[in-house]
Amino acid sequence: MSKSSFSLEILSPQGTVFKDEVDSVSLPTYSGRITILPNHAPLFTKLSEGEIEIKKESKISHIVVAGGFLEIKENSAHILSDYAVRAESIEIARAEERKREAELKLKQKLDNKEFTIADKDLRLSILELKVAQRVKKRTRVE
Amino acid sequence: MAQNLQLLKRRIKTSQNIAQVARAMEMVSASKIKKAQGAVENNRPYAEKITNLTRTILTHADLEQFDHPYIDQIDSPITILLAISSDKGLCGSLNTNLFKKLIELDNKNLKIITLGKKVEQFSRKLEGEVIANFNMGTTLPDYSIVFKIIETIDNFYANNKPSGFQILFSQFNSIFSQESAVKDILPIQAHHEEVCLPYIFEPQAQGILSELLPYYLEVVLYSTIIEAFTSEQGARMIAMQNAKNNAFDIADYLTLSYNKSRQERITNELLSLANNI
Repeated sequence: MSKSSFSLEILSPQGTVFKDEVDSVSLPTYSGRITILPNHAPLFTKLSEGEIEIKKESKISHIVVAGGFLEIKENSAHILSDYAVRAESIEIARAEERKREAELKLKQKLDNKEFTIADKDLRLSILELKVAQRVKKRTRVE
Repeated sequence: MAQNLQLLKRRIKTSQNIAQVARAMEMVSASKIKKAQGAVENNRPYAEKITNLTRTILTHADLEQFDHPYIDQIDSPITILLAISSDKGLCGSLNTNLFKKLIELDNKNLKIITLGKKVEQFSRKLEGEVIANFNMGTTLPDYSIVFKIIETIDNFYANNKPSGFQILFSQFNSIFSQESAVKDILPIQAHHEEVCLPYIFEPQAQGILSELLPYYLEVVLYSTIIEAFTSEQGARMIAMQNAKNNAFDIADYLTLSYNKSRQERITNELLSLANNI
């Protein structure tokens, strides 16, 4: 009965980012990075911001998320995140712009709430840049 | 007679101008609705999933140990209502239908949060108390509006212990049909589905739930707000389309009577000339 793949769906308010049968997926959870293989026990956990690595028939794709939730049941995984973007569609120029903006904001004196938002923006844009550069390098090597 | 012709000419001009304005507004709404509909459609699977998920998780979690204002069933006459209307008029019977529903819900223990200037004005006349006002704006509402509303709700929950939270908004069926609807949001109803294996929660269910519940509220609120916005644009587009058609009809009718009376005058003049000879 056991299948060697499972379905993965990544949803964000901007639409469905990813939906396919995959072999494995590693993702950053609240308590550390985990890798999900087929036939995983039902799990519900919080994601922290980071990079999701999806393996499908030796092909690897990357998706950047800004936190969210992961639910696994009956051999299908759902990721709900308020921000998710595929590594290939990260616009480096825009991420850099956002990083600059966030840095600028952090320099000013802000109240608690704005500080948190700017801080999150900054971390996210740095992460996006990192992943985008890595993906770019890899495609160049190939 | 001559004065009559002048008058007709002026009225033709007026109705044509009105048609032009209506057509411009129709086109503005048509372009806005495209964007809004896209946003609603993209958001829908996400909102549905998170609603289902939250309800499922609630059945699995041990609620005895967990206390959160969003799920507690409290016996209290006080309820909060978020009423969403448009800021601007000229959108047919959309707001009127909404107000009818609002009157049905109205009572002394109703606390109203308004989103949109039209419902803000209307709510002042009601028995219920308005506790906060927000503006809808004329472009697709930003996500940050949700935080302000939630802050108000949270404050109210902390001080007054209401029994529930509802949203009154215009549901978007299609461009041609919008319906006023009331949605129960809080307390969140657990959704009993066929028993499946118990979930592993990481960190503990309590920790996750206290994160998930505010998030759930955010997502539900936002998806409702953009749906209401789409309804507004749809209603306005149809209302303006009708207005444009009516204005053109009037212009046509007036042109016809203008031509007729002009012809009549010429004939009369010819007749009087012939008689004089």
